[in-house]
Amino acid sequence: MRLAALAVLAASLLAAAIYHMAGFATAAVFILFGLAYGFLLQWGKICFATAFYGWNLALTRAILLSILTASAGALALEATGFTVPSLPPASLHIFLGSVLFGVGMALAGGCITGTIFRLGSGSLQHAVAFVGILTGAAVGVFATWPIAELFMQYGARPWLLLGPHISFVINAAVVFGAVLYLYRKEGTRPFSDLRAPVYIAAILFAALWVIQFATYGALITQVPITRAVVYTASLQPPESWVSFAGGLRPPPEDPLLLLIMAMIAGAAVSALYRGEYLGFSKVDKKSAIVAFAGGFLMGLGAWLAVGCNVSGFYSATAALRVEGWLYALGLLAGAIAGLKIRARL
Amino acid sequence: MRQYTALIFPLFLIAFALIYLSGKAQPQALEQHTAPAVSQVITPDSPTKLTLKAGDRPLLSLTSNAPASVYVVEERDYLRGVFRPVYEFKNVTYVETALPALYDVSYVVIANIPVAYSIAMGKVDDAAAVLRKGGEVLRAKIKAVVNSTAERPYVVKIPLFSPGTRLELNATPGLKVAVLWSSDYRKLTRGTPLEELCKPESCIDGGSLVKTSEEFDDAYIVAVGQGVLEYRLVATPELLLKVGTCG
Repeated sequence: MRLAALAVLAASLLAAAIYHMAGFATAAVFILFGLAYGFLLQWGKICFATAFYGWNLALTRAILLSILTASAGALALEATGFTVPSLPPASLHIFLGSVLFGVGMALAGGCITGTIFRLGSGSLQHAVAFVGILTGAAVGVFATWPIAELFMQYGARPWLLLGPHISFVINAAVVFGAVLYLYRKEGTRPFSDLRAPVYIAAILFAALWVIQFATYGALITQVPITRAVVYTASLQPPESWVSFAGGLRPPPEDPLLLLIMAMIAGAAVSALYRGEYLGFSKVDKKSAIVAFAGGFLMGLGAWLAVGCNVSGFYSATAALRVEGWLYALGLLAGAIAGLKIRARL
Repeated sequence: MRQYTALIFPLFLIAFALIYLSGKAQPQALEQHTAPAVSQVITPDSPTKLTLKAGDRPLLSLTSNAPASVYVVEERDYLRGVFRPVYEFKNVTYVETALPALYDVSYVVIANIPVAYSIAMGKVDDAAAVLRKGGEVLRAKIKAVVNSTAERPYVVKIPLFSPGTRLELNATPGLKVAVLWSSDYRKLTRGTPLEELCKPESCIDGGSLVKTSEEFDDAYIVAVGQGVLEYRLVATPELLLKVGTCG
């Protein structure tokens, strides 16, 4: 297994080296970012879906701590004028879309990052869910993005009103409030297990996120994967969407897509190294259909909320866009509903 | 051996890298993706073709000793004989303009007299990165010779003069210049005199004017009289705050 891990790592680094040789340094750097993100996600088993179900409160706390850490970095960057977050208008569409996304992630058995790291771990079920995400995202450009656009016309940009300092205070208050709530619910001392891989991975993830935010902008996932599908399938999306997505581009020239692909490879490295690689063993038909449907709903929801669990929740809150917490509420509601639906299937 | 199925992920990455590398190595791509010598000339008989991939943002520079009119049209329109310029620069002696490509697109650049040109290739992402780091990005810099009347004014359309974009105008004495929003421009074309549409903050009679936008609307520079008009369109970091692009 470890030899295979080395082979995956070496091949990924070779791809980065070729891009660097071709003069596309950003692509090379993004592959490195992706490898690191993927490794950390798999190693720490950082799945937002699991965190929202409340099944693993250490994971929930680790994600909250990660957001707070990344927020502190973003505060330093934004308060000094070094960088600013992108600010799509916030409105009710965020909540509606995140509920849909939450239902989808419960059915698929993971959020987008959870699906990515499990795909890297060789899970056939999550490979099917990933195809569902790609399909749903492409359909969402035509079906749910126009609805989001209507809402965004009347949306607000809280960051412009609050500024980075007040936004950080809100973030800190929400994180501490949530940790306190979990402590009362669970009864164990919070952060007593800070050396556990989940915390280390979450903090390192936050550090990576801050470096990326400072140099290239926040981590996003739904935009590049949708761009790739739209471009490859020669679809004709609405002009407004193309403009929002920063234009279409051939997949080999989209650094963000390379980051996602490298994220899968990074997760594979970790899974192989730890002997957790599943090798795409069989999945039953029913699980596959449910996983596809879940992925499809996540893709649709991502373009209604104009964000997935990464860009709409983690990156939004970490970049001090407080509307990310609205996404979290929707995700929670959707996850609860999704789990009930899944139990009946 | 099953664990080696994981190699599919990096193999995709390697394939993409090789595709990118081979694209860079094609002679045609090399010719179009590097800055040609300034001595290259567009003439009325030999328009030049510019093939862009989505995400490209070349900077096209044009210089002419005499006022020239230059039009950038999509190749498919050009081949069909449809004249629908995406960009047009009338009576210009100097043009420096970005041509951001949201889709894969081929443009044909047409000029009415010989015009020297150069192209510096760039990327939309690189321009966005400059804004993100607090810098400003030049979208266009034009110098035009105007000789117009109130009945036939000199007009330049600025598509989507977005918030966060700054327009800097400079006109020689004797040249009356107004920046109109699309609704006012429609009134002008329907016969309302320019004087009635002029507002102090958006009209000059020679001199300088700096205008920023708070609306997502097309703007029109309307010039009447004789003289030289210079203008620059600059994207500022405010653009990132006002325009919700992803990431």
